[in-house]
Amino acid sequence: MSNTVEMNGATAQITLAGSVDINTTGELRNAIQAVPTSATAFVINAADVSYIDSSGVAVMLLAKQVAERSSASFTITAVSPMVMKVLELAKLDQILKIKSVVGGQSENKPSSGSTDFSDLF
Amino acid sequence: MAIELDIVAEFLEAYGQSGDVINALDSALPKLVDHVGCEAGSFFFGDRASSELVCQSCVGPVDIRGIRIPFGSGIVGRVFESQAVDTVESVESDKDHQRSVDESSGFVTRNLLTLPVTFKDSAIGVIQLLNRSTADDSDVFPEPFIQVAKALASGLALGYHSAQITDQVRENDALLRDVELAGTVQEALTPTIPEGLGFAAGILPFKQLSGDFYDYLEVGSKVYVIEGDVSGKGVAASLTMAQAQVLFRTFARANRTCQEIAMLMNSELHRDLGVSRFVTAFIACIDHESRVVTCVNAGHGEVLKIEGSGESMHIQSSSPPLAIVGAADFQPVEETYAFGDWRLWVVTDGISEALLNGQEIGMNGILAIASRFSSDPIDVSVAKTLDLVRSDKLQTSDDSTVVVIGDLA
Repeated sequence: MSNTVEMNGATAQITLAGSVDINTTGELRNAIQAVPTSATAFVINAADVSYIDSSGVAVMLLAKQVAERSSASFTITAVSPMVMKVLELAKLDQILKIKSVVGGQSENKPSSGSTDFSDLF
Repeated sequence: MAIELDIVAEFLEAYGQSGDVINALDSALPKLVDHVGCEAGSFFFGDRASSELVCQSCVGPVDIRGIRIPFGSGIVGRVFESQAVDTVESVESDKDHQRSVDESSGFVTRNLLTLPVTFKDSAIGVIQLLNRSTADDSDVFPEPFIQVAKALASGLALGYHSAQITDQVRENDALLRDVELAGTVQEALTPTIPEGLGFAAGILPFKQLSGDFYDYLEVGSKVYVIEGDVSGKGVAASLTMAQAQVLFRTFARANRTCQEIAMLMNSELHRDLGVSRFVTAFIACIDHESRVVTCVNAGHGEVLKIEGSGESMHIQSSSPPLAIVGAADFQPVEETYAFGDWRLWVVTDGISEALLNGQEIGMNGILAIASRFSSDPIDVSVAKTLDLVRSDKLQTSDDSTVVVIGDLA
């Protein structure tokens, strides 16, 4: 799983996958900032993201900002439920308009609904 | 071969004593040039920052130290790129020979041997030996001669590699000292909370520098409290954290409402941070005179409000985190709660996303913790929560911060 930025004609296609965190976003930030100003569209697909932290969210916001600077369109075509949860909690779903939430992977962190917390104490 | 080995050994010894590879080469190169019967010799270092080969050491009638030759130019550039030993028995017939250097220096080059200085296939520079005199018409650069020069080139490569590692270790040491110092400064910025203010807080950094923070300020009968989480980690995040704390204190001191503090902090951080960083924040004001708690949740995830009866509710974020949008789009909503038998549990994701038996505890876990420690004073419940992380019962990979507001009945 890796994060990529590819030019498809005048469209910058950003694919986020696996764990999108402080350890995996350094090069991604550089790649997004290096997208030519001639790009007319930025498209993010985060359907296969299993974990995202604030660094990953910052990368999505960076892409939006770079797109706005170039007067390019910005679209998030799909996110995993995990990404959607983080964006909703931070009220970022209002800013990063998302077209669809698709079944993605969850990295070792299923819902805690059935957890027996007596083990904790 | 004994004397050749002596030259290499002397070079390495000189490097070991001085720690300066050029200094060591300055003493070894004349011996090599003299031993092999050449008129001059030089070492060019490949400076990748400028894409030039720079003469750092030389011996002979003309001092060419400091001369720069672009990568790919001249015979030294050719050898640096090919990494192959190159012999030129007559420069007249070599198209790459740069006559301008001879013309400006007055030195007449007749023949030369150029060797790459490499370590693990990575080119460091080249050594050049010029104008070897031969008593007869035999080969100008016989194989034994080349072997001697190669031995020195290998020694030089080893010395250079050692020097580079030494420099890296020194830089890393300096960086580690800086990080250590930043950690100490950060610790100093994290206040100890006296009893009786109506809240308790604790923080457990995951690494040396935390992206989480909490702070408070007393203004008359009011106690302003903030818990924040800066995106990213390390020194840059800790600087943003310090900036957020200063802004919080500045606007709290001016007796602003929580909503105003959040909006003012957002405007400042939005202007300064650009796209690189954001701060999630929960800001509260405990007013001991009017006996109300007001609060704002700016992108900080859910906050748990648990009553003495065990009933609970979640306070959702009402705005994006600080710094992301401009003032026009940032309208956080302020909540107000009268003093009573309840507690607000504000935790960062180091706690809410921590794992218990491989499962994320989420808000159900926070509720379980809050219920379990409900009979303890708030400072004890905070300490016990952080102990769960310390003891590894809760497994986290992030900074863990807990603020509990309560005991205000």
